[in-house]
Amino acid sequence: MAIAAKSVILPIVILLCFAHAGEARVFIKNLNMAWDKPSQTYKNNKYILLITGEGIYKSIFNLSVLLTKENSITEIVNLGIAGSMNSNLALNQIIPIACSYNFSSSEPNFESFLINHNSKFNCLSVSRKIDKSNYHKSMEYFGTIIDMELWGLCFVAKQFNLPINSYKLISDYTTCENNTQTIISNSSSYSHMLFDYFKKQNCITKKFVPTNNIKDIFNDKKFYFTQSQKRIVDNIITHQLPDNFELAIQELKLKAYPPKKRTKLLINKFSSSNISLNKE
Amino acid sequence: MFQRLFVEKAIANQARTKKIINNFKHLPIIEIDNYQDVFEKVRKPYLLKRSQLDLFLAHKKGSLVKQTPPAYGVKNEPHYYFIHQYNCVYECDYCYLQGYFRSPDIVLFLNYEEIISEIDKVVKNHQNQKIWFHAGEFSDSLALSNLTNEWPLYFNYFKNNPNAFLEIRTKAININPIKNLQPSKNIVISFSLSTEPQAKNHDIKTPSVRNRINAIEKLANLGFKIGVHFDPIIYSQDWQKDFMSVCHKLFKNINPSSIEYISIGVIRFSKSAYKCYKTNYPNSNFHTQEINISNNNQIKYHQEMRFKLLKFAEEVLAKYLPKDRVYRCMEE
Repeated sequence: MAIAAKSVILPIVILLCFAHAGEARVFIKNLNMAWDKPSQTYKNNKYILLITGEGIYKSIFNLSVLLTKENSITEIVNLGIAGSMNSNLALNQIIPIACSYNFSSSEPNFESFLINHNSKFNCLSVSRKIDKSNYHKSMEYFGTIIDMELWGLCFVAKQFNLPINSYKLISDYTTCENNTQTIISNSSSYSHMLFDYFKKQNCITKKFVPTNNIKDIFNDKKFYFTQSQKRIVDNIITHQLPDNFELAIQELKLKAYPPKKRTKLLINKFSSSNISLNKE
Repeated sequence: MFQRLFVEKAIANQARTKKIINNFKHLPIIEIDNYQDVFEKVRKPYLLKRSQLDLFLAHKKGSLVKQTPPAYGVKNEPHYYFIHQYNCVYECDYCYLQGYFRSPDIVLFLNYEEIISEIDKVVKNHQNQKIWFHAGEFSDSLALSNLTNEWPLYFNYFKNNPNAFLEIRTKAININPIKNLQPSKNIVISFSLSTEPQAKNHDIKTPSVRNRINAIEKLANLGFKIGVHFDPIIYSQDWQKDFMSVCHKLFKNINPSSIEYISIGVIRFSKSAYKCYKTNYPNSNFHTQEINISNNNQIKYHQEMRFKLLKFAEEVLAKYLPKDRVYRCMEE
């Protein structure tokens, strides 16, 4: 019987999504990214940068098109400017978003997307300027940060089963008459602030992704894991995947052992070969 | 704990509402026409209960008392539950509420008299028959009762209606709101218990098993009737040993005659609750265990394993209690 080929660890490829080129400019320059015509993105060996354009529909369309072509992307990070309905939030402050809602139609969309449950700020994606209507007033019950794209990005990320994070720089208050020209003229400064934040903060959650879905072993009925065994094996996969790990899995599956024994043998094999298990 | 307090305008000036509001002077208080204008208007992800939990004070309209599903409580007796709250301050990872409501926010319904009046209608339809009413189907009955102060009204009603039985389900150790009330034979305070490792791994933000047993002991000593739910049982390698240990601790200082009944049930999910559970708690050990979809679309262990666990629990409990006081919950 053919044995699966040795696992290869793919490099991390982070997709950076911006609505406007102005917000992305410093990233493109400082990360030495080059224009890639076929994918209509900027690229280096670690990042892909997509300018989605403004609004939910463009963000859905352009992100979907890219993800059907680029299967190496492991995570999406959205950065950009946003308005705030809460004037207590300082201008130029950058906020991690907790949850994304869609208020772009006359009724809010029921679907929402959890991004970071530790944050206290939700982002509402809208399609028009915030006014003093009851509808826009009631939006405050659900969130304070206003953008035009995030919900679309989250929608596509979920379809492609990719994690997404979002960080919004507060550029203006929705309660004030904003000056679009001023915001546009500040775009370079916004881009610098976003890039500095991105460098300092840990905006990326994934370390790497093993290929061939090795973590499927946890759902494989030919193995049985206790919680602590699962943690041990997860540590082996995540931190120091041995070359012969997948081969060992395949060999054990061919043997007529009960699931618990297979797991025990797997752990014995790799915990006795001087592999650091990063025990807690 | 709460981020904001939403209050329905119609009840905002009632004394009961004001008393609750007084506990939250530091919170933004927002008056709304109807709690449903915000609660479940859009899907609020369950895990936002950790950082963005809101409290609603509302008047419940529509059905206030409902019949329980079959195999819910002590057999051969009619069982109903009444709706006095939505959602729970605790975060047990297996909780079915994560798939039931589209928001983790807490709603307190303050029309207690109307709920009791509905209970009374059901009681009158079951003259001379023992009938059960359960609190805490969608919430923890005691956890916020220092705010609601609702139990004196219920105790008063049930004291005068001896054929009607009240069960107050909880994991809370907040017994102050009831400990000064007069115990009654037809009022059972029931605690959910599990093995200590299971509680540590799965019952997030709940009082420890030891503290729950202490609360049981205090109430039993005051003459309250006690119920215990070993539900859900989640298998682990040491479960048998751990189960014997928790039973030993429970009965060490508690007279078995105080225990009205013990229910036992094995972990189970509806499809929607399981989908949420997988998303919210991807690292839970339940995902690595052998489970299947039963005929009634529940996700649970296969029958042989469930019966093995239940049989073991029954054998252990038989050392402490007569068999007729132990029943299987949601398991025919």
